[in-house]
Amino acid sequence: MALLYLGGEAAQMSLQLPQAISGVFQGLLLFSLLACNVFVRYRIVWSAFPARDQGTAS
Amino acid sequence: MNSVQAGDLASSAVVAAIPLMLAGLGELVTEKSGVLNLGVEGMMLMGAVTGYAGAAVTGDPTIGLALGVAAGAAMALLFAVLTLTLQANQVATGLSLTIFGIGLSAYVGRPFTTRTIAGSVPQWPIPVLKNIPVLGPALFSLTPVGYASFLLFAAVGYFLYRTRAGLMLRSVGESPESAHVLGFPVLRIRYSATLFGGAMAGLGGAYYSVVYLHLWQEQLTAGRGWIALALVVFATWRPGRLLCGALLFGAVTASQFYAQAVGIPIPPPFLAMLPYVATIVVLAVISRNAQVIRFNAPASLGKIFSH
Repeated sequence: MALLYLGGEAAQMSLQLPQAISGVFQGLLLFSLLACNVFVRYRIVWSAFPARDQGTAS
Repeated sequence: MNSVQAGDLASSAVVAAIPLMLAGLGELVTEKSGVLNLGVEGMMLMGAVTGYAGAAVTGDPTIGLALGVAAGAAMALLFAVLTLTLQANQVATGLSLTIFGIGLSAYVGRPFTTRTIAGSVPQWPIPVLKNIPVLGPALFSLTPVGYASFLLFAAVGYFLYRTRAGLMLRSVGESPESAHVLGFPVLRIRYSATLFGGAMAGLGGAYYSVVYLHLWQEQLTAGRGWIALALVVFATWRPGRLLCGALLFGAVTASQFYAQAVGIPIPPPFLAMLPYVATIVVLAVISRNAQVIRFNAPASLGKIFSH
């Protein structure tokens, strides 16, 4: 997060981006980080048939 | 202080309380279903900027308010997908929602900081009641949104404690496992409660920019989302107490303008600090007795439900 703050400031200075963009970027990055938590909890199982038998896909 | 001044003070207290009432009521319903959404500030800001943009472009404040509601609900939908479907941590997701909302609202709202709104929301004074000395200007000369927010309190109170659907919502907040075993659609109920909370926060934000201040600037709501969150704890998750709390904070906010107008020699920054200090003091007093919080909080508040 600290690096993101610094990077955001650097991006604002060098690319003339508006200040708000770094907040948007941080939010989006955090969202994807949190969303990926689902892969920690679950494993994706590719099955050839729709899982009609006892719950292979969760 | 004569009765006209008292009426003015009470009236500005109620008007200042309305955004807190709306956002707090929405968050109360969300938390009653066991979802802790800390993104109220972000949802309010998105509601405020979308509402203001809609009102500035179309010239119709009503469309602005409706768009604000939609924006708040959209932010809440993002939160709900992350925490309910993808089972992310609710506290972390709520905080990211606030960061995201502050950034996005500031970015989207840049063209609108200099624009003004053509139309304004009219007040609807109620014929006879408006002549009551202090209560008249305070409670019976409001905008339609003001009356609606009071009616919503009655409606939510009735819904939560007098209807079957409200009982289901509360049971999901207390023990989602039991509710699931009973056959209640836990996730659907939590989605609905979260979306309602977002819509109300959006309405509160849009009210703040479109009806109350008539302007947009970065971080317009200045922490009111956080105060609304604190109010829900302060009210120990009861709508009636939330209403009292919101009016109390409205009174603190209004007294700051009153003190300036009358010329009481207190520096303005100190007065602007008061609502936030009041939040800390009230929460510290309430948290002194941990049992009060524990007995009243929904038992599974902030916990992830997976079946």
